Amino acid sequence: MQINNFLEPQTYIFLRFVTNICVCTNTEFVWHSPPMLNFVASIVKSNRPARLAVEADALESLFVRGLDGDDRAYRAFLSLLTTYLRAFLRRQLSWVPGEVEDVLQECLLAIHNKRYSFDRKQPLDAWVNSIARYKLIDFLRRSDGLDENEGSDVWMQEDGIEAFESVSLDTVDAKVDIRRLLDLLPPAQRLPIIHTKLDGLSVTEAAQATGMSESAIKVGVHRGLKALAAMLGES
Amino acid sequence: MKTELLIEMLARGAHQEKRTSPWRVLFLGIGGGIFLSMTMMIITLRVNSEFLALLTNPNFLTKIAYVSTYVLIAFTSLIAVSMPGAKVKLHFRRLALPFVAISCIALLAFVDAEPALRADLIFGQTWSVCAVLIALLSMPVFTLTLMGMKELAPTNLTLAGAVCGLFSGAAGALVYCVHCPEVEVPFVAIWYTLGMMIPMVIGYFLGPKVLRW
Repeated sequence: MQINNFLEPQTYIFLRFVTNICVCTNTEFVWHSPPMLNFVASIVKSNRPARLAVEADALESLFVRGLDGDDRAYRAFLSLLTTYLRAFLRRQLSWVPGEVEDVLQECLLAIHNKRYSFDRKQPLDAWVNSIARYKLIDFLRRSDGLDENEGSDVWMQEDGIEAFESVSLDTVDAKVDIRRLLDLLPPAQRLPIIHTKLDGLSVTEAAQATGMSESAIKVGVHRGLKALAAMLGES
Repeated sequence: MKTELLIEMLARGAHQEKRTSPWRVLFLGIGGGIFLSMTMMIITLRVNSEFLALLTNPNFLTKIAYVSTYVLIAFTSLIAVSMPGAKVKLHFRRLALPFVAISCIALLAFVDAEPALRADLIFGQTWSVCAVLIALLSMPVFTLTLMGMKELAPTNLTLAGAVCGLFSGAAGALVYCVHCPEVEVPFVAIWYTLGMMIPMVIGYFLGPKVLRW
């Protein structure tokens, strides 16, 4: 959220000064703005187009329903999120458009793998944005040999809603095929993923088909998806 | 591979995936790490024979309070750096507040003492090993905290590494308090601070390398 865009610099500095005195811990542990700046945040919020606010809320409710076990809502969340993330990444990666889908898939896998660390009290858009930004910087660093400090430029634009700006629908294939990467996994991870994630078997059915225990299937899926995310990060 | 296929794959059966709480991994890591370094201390260094008598010593209590402050500060920061979307910055001035406070007490004690005894206040008997032992004792906590942090989603890896380091340094110092024969405040202000900072600096440089996810 670019608070400083909406305020005169002096006002902003003064408010920062006040909050610096008021917040006595060593870190500012806030979602969008320090507590003292909440009224500023409400101004910023009213500046955000109503359509986007509604869509961010829709996204959040789909995600939360997904966390509670509703797979259809979760799929809808991922599809809706993808359109926003794709637009965001296209703009950030306009100089290498061929990489957009790869980074996008990395983001989706990361969000999927980390979804249980999401704290429901925090706004989903800030959470998703930070992860997308993190994966983007990670990609820039390894593709370009950017050093850590250069990446922080992307960091400093803390624009909470930027990823939710425009939407376009035509897509291309990612260069790395995740199904190929699947072949590199050990069988204890590959088979559970193939059975439950690609063939759509339930955990019990997959356990019967492979002779593994149900908890081994669950662990295999979990570790396998983590390993796939790590492989994407190295390619 | 089309992204739509990946979405299909991720969403299918998502409710029956293993639900690990990443927080549990972090807290288990912290608990296990402190237990390990406690064991390390008891086996290799032994508990201070006058430990019970120390409990009423105001200098000793100052030391405990100083170290615990950093344990608490680092712990709250640990949670903050692990959450994407939380704005976290390291404020060195705020971080230095407990150090400034104990330095003032140390200075008073130093000025108050006989000139001939002043060197003792600073160096005690064990100054040469204090910081190193604290750093060594913090290593189990450091390793396990980093492993727990990796399960969560830190997005500023340098800061996350430094915070993990500070936390384990402070926890290591707290464990070392049980052994350490020194109670003078100037000694604590210098060597304990140094000991806590060693893992913090290590974490600062190690974070981007080991915490990537």
